[in-house]
Amino acid sequence: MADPIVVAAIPERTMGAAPTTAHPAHEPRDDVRWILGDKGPRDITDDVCRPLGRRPGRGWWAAFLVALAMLGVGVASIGYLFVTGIGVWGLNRTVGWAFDITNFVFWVGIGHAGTLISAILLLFRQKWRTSINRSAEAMTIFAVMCAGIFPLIHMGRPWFGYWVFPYPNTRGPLWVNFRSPLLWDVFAIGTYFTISLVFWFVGLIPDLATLRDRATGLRRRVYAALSLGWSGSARSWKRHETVSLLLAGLATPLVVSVHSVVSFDFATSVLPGWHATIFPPYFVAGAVFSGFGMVLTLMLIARKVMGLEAYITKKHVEMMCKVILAMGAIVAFAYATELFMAWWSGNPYERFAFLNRAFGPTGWTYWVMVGCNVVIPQLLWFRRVRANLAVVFVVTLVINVGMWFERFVIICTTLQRDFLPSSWADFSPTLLDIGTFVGSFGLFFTLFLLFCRLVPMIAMAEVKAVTAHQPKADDGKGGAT
Amino acid sequence: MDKAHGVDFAHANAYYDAEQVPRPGHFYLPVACQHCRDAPCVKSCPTGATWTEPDGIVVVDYDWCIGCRCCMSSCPYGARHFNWADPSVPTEAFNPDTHFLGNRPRGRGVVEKCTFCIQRVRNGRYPACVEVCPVGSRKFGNLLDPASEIRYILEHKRVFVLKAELATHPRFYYFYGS
Repeated sequence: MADPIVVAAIPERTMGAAPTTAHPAHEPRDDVRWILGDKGPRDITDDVCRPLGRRPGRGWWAAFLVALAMLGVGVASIGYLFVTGIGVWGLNRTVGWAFDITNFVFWVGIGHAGTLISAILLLFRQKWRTSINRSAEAMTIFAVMCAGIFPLIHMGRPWFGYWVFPYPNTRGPLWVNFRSPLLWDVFAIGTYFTISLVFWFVGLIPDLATLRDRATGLRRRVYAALSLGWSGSARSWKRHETVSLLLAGLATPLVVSVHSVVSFDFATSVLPGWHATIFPPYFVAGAVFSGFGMVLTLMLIARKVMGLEAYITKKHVEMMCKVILAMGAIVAFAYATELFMAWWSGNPYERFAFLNRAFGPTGWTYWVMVGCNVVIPQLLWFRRVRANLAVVFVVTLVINVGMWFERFVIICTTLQRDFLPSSWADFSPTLLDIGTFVGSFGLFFTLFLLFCRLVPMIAMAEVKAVTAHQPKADDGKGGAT
Repeated sequence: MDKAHGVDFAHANAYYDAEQVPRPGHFYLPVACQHCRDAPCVKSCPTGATWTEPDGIVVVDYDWCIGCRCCMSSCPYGARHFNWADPSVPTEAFNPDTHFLGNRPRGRGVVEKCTFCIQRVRNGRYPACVEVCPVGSRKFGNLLDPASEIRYILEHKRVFVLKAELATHPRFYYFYGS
């Protein structure tokens, strides 16, 4: 079957990928070999599509069944929750938000890496994004789906959740309250999900056409419908590039706005520990930090399982580690700033809130957070660590754990000890809390495993554009090993 | 009530059976809804299910509450309570004299709070807590009436509001009797 991709027609999405010999400071480097081996367009198509044509192996089935079982636990937990009410969680009058909103903020954060990689790095002409953007964007979509569940199920009456949408209705004079941060969440998350999905799908179209041309029977018909009659003509590419750029422009502010809006859920309140102006940038940096952690965790597994070592190289891992390091530094700075504000403001409530975070009844969660998000990631300063994929894998896992605890610390410890000692209460999760949390991971992994089997994990067309201009393997400039 | 559960009406003893009142080392300060002029709960409710009535009472329409608990998280006084279960009031114990925004039964999954007994005060009666207080330590009245008892207290007693620095501007005042 002929490869439908015409290499000469596609370099625009890589934004000025024409080879040059001199590199001004603001220009991206073209002399780094991002893809290992001298891969031609056909090699790339074969390598990426090969796993899709094969029957899934035992490893995939095992992972899928585990993910499905976790999802089942979540569905059962949510079903019981709907029937019985949210009193089955460990919430109480004082701690009215706990695992539910923690999980919501955690999952929204996980989604951030995808948009940053696909949109912002596209605008900044970072070619290393091409090997990971497809999976990262998919993770964004799946993570936002996981996140979207929690605001719905955390309601006392989730069947009325649609009341937060401002649409013409017959419900009388009552209307949504545009001053409510929860309503801003609805708009922020809804916009983010829509743009991410469209951006992801637009990027997929040329690759779906490739799959269409390689497939037969029903699969061919499905891929043909999804690829929207893609012909690979120069005009199609031109329009594709225009739409991609426009969507990147639309998605870029969303990277900043979504988690800023999520942070407003807390920052607009008057509670000590929440009422802080640093929350928006603090949350955005934390989101990118955790998102890259999750992307790297799954990418390190996927490159091995799917045999994509030539495409997701140590150089890519190194770049992602550097982003994690930078974002981790911002997060650590935010932690320090919070402590400084608590001390310097002279506000006794703020001081107490942070002393309580560190030394209160759930103080151990604060130290888990600091250990996982501030101490351990410092290992990534060392090139030897960044080059050791096993260590990087462990560090990213630790970051995932730490970032979940960060949200738990922010939400739970603040609510546990507010202004009035008579209101103080503790929180301990029930099995239903944990079941719902496990279920969200089940949904995420189930969708990700299906994604690995059904669409190309690597954006073939974009990788081809990168390889078309990278130096050959024997010219002494290779950096990826 | 222990700290593990906080204020938990569902499981707490409804009667204060302390051996001695006041208990040594304890300070008693009743805290109900402060009916703030700049109420954080009203601002944070996504569906507009809670608002301030023209007479200043902050109310909840239980039919419109979706139970998101934004109001509970934003209230610095812990004045709002969530209904974790369906009401189970025996028929004979049910008060048929209800108000739509007051003492009607609240279903599972909605938030409620003190309404200054809107079903009573709108009919010229005192809130139940004012009426039942054996030592008359609670007062209720019209702040706009210069001849009211409440205005006398505000003008002649030592008065404070809870957490004044939060600028919620409560309509609930605390005063020293002497």
